[in-house]
Amino acid sequence: MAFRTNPAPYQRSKNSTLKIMLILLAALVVVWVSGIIYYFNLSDKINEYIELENLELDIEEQLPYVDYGLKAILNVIVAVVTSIVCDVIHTLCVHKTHKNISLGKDIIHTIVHNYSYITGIIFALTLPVFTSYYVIIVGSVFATLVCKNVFGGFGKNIFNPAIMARIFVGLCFGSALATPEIIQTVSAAELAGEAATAVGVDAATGSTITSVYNNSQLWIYTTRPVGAAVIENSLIEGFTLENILFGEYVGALGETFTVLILGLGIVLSVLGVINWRTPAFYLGTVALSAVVIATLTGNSVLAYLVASIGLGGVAFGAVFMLTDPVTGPTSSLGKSICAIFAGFMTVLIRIKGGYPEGAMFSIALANLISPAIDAAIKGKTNRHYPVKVAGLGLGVVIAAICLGFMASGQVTHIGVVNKDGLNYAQDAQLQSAVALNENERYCKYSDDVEVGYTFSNESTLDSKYLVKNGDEVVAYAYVIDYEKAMGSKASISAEGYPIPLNVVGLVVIDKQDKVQGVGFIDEKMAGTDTSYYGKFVSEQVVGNGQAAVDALVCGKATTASKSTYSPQIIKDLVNKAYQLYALESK
Amino acid sequence: MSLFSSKGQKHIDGHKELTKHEEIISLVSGNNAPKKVYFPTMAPNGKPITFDVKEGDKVKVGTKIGLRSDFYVPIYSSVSGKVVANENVFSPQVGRAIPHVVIENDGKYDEEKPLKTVTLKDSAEKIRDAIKEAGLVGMGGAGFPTYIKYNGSSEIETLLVNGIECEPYLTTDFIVMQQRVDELLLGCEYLMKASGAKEAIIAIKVHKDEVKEAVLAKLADHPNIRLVETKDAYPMGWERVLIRNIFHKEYKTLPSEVKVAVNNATTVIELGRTLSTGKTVATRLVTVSGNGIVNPHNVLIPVGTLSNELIKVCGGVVEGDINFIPGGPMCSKAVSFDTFPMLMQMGSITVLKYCQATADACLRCGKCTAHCPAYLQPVALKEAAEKRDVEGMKKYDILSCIECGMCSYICPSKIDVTETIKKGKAIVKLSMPKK
Ligand code: SF4
Ligand code: SF4
Repeated sequence: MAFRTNPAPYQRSKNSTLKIMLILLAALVVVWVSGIIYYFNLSDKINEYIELENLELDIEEQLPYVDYGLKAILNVIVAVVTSIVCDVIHTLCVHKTHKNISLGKDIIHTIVHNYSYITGIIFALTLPVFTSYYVIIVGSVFATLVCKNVFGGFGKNIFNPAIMARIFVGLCFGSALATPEIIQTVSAAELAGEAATAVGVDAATGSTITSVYNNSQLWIYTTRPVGAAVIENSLIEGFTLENILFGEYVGALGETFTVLILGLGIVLSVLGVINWRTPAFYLGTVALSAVVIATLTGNSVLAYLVASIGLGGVAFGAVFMLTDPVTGPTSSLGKSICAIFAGFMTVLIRIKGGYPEGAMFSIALANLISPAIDAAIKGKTNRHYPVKVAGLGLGVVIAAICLGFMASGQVTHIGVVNKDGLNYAQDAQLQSAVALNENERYCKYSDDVEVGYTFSNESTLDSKYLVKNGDEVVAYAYVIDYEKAMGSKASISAEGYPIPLNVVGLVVIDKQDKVQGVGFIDEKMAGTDTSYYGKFVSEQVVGNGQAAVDALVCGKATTASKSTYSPQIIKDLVNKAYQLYALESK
Repeated sequence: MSLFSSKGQKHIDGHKELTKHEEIISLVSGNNAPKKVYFPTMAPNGKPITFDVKEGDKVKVGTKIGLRSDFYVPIYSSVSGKVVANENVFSPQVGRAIPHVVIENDGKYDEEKPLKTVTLKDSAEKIRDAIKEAGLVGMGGAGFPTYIKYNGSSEIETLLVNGIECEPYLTTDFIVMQQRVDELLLGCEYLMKASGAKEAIIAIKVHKDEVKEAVLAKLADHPNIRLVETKDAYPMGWERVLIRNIFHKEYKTLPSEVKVAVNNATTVIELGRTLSTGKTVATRLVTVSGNGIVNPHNVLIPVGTLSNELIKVCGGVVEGDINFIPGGPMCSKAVSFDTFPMLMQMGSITVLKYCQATADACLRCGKCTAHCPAYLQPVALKEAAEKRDVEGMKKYDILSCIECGMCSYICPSKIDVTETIKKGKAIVKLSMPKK
């Protein structure tokens, strides 16, 4: 027996760091398992399709079939094992300095208490399932050795290692993260409507794997500096907001299950594993910005909100990465400030920058300013309490409003009318126009793949979209320079996509939100069923279009304010203009 | 609201059931009565206590034997018997062995003639003098002379009787408050009169139903006294937290700034008894508890009894390494001796099995900051203290730390945050110019 005089207190909470980390690990495993299940199902569908179509796989590996489910399992295992091996190597190097502990114990202690397995699993979950193993290995080594152990191990690293590794591989091996061709093949076929049954589309939701996949790609890999980020997200045929929320699309392995992740976030907060303020303020800032941006740009608030939170790993980052205590401020106030900052940067990178890793960059930046936040919060935590609450609230609102104006500054519209029965998305404002008809569904063309239509005078264009209007498809484009856009030729083509686009007209709305004219496609100029041409905004058509506008909108449409263009009015405008045109040409 | 500030309190396992309903063992008489009782010649702050008895003197229960040199605190004998040679014994307050005046207990408990009693009709002045003469110190552990709070210099509106007992294991207030309600209420009345307070609030934690019923049953005759129940959280018993919970007020240094005077419940009870009967405090109840004690019990002892005698009647300590704590497990420091006198302010001995905690690296989780009752940022203080950065520690207000142990308790990495801060505090104090 001995009297121990270790320091007080002698009663300690039963909570421990190891316990916290193991609960976190359990939550991550839940996400992982969801990913595994999803990719097993996806592989089944793809394989079925390959068999049915008797496809010659024109992909590097020449796999007779795909097995992404197994890959989903192995990805994480590879990352975790690599991380642990790095820890062992690190221990072997520094063991000399650890006196009075045997090598074996040292290694085990390091493995258990350096928590690199957490880093490993988080890292693997932020990568698309297709990512090559060598990329995962390089990333994991970078995370554990360079970003964590070099700084002195767990508790001393400045940046979240998983995030740094994700950014690192994103920049170095961007192409290795790209979509394999088989997915694209299936995607194309599906868009053509052929594969819908073959691939076993869920009839209830009508969602197809690949259209869904395309959508996530558009968001994650082609975030563009257009005001309406939601445009990027315009929903693909049959793709509903629920698909985003429940992760029914192909994205990073663990980042797509938004509802699940947010649910886990609540559980982890209740268990005291994470501080709820971090995700709450982060998501709050992103959400409020989304509402402001959607309102200012005339988007559907709900769709924008869901897309903002549900895509691009925002929820995952909020719950599992930004909450990493080691790399964040210690006080609740600091955590809140840091989260608001990260939310602001996330949205900013999305609307102004072009990186798929937007959320990751913002979290890394938040890590960077954390020590400064900590240093700024001196003294007692109950000082100036009302000021702090008001300040933070104000901070969120101001951030959201700034982002909203930054995003909305760039929005103008042009429309192209298409007679085809297929439905395509759209400009954000028109998304709701489309939604007027319940039977209509949305689809979006990406500029990057150059489907949709092209303009002969590209330099005048800001962006362009197609929207379904009743039986007609209306394509809209934003023009930067209306003068130059005059006389441009609009070409609607499907380039490889067998979609007949019966373009019948164009509605031009300039930067000042004035309708400049409505143009219609000369039937004679129609080409094959994959491509149609029309002269854009010719003199005489302007007259007709303007008359339609004047009649419809407010007599003098040229001074109409933006809000005048409600979805219904745009729809009516197009219809009316088309009628006028049809009358005239008789 | 604790959106961005600290919660400042947390429910912790109280382990009160160990002794709450156990019978009380009395060491005052019978075979187990202590042969000798000890009185230190130094106050907890290191100031000398002068004794005016010498070897061979006969004393009775209540004989004034000494006086503290800095404050006027008379020391009264707790037994009757003969003064024998001074002995060096360990003093947990001072932290080393110091000379103690020793009185041999003859077991007769002859009583000295009582002090002058006062009634509620007497003037505040007179009651204050009686409190001063009674030699009472805070029996909740602080040992701070009671009369100083009632010198009449500041306006007091409310008297707050602290019956919280937030340290784990301790149950003496719980028991004494049930058994001695009359003296408790009498003590309240005396103190209200002495301080000019218009009302008294007796604060206990929820789930102390026995105390609640006992007190409520007699409150009808005392319109100015009420009972308040607080959350079961640590450190609810700290004045600042208690006042925060009951009055929703903050103050800088003393509760009198918000017109409140706080006293521990047992102190109030003893005060009621001493002022009405003139008998000084000779016995007190001590909780001997913890998983390191074979039979945890509450023990009634003559003040000055050696701790090992209490341990003995509670079945001794368990095998293996232990923490022997003269007080509760949160604030008191374990000592390496099990033999020291139990003074008037010492209400417990806690013995816990030693368990080695494996410390992790600080993960900067901020849980300590989120729970510090003083609204400090322990993790920042710890970092500054480790670097011996005096300026940094001052900026984070290290001197406001009350060493409550919450930050170490809550730390998932089992870091001795409180200890590091204590050391930092010492460095800061040393660096400050002597006043
Ligand atoms: S010991 Fe000091 S710093 Fe730690 S929680 Fe208590 S008051 Fe705060
Ligand atoms: S509770 Fe412990 S691990 Fe958490 S910040 Fe405080 S000292 Fe660090």
